[in-house]
Amino acid sequence: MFEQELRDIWKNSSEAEKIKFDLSQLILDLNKKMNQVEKNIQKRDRREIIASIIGILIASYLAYEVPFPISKLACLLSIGWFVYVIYKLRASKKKTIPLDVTLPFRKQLENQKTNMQQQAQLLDTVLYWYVLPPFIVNVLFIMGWGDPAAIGWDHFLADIFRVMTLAAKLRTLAILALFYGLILWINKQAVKTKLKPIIQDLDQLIQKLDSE
Amino acid sequence: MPLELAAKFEQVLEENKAKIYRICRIYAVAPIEPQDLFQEVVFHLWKSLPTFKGKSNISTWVYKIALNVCHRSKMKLERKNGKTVRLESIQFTPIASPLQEDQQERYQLLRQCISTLDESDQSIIILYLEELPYKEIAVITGLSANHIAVKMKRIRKKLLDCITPKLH
Repeated sequence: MFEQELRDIWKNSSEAEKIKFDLSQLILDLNKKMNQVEKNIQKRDRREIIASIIGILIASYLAYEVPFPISKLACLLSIGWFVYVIYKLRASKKKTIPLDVTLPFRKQLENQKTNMQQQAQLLDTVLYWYVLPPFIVNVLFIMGWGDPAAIGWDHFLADIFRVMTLAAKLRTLAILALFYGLILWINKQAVKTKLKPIIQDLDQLIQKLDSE
Repeated sequence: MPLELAAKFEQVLEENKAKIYRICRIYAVAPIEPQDLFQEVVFHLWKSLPTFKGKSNISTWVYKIALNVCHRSKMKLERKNGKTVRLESIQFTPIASPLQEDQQERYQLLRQCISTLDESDQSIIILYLEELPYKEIAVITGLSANHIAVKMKRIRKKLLDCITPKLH
């Protein structure tokens, strides 16, 4: 009897507001929202590819123009790294389980957890695929840079970089090390403060659902 | 969207809007309003309707979507993509009457007690209050009907222990 009272209170809770909709306008709105979601995804993908292509073009140009062998090697390595980053991000996207809200609640939680774990793993290993490779490339590029005047290289790049003393090279590398350190820290923080708590919550929720 | 599908969508929405709204009210946590969640559920209903094969009851399917979307919002899993488009075509008009105020108070007490339950228990008790049979709750949650029955014994006791002194 009392349970029926609770059910009545529950059912009456939808009486707080009257919900009305105009179907033709609603479908227009929904189409608009759908298009916006798709456009945002396309924009994000395009941004990633354009950034990598620009990186590859600049590195290719530098590899072609720079006369110092070690710096040239660094440019070629960075092209390989840009390609690897595109591959890595695409592979991660392929592994992501698409959102399907029509699945049972437990299955949906499992999928969310798998996706979050995969994202956490990607960010947690950022040192090996996003921080160390470009830093090594930078070390090679800077340390390999010689004296343009000594080999008679007359180019606007020579004017920009000029002769770098060992102290200047070390200073630049120290600044770069700090920059890459910051990238590493930001990613590790994102895993620690955002992703891991969500994974733990999902894990607990699944365990509680399974328990009696 | 073909006319047939549009008509089906209208029918599904009209028949299920109250239950969707009830679930959204429970899951809405500030700054997200129940209306925002409702719109998100409607969006996913519309997006998923072409893939509905009719293997399960349409209301079971609606419950699954509402529960999953509301829970995702609570876990802050939704990205900002597309959140900027408000569905102005859905209008919410408050209904106020003395009877409503009393109902509101009782509802708030029930809501308080539901919020003291574990999240997993909350999702089950919501479906129970919707008067769904254990078999249907099992399909929506992905657990077995026996499991639901065992869990419900414990959840029901917890809820009653909390709400009884408040209501009587």
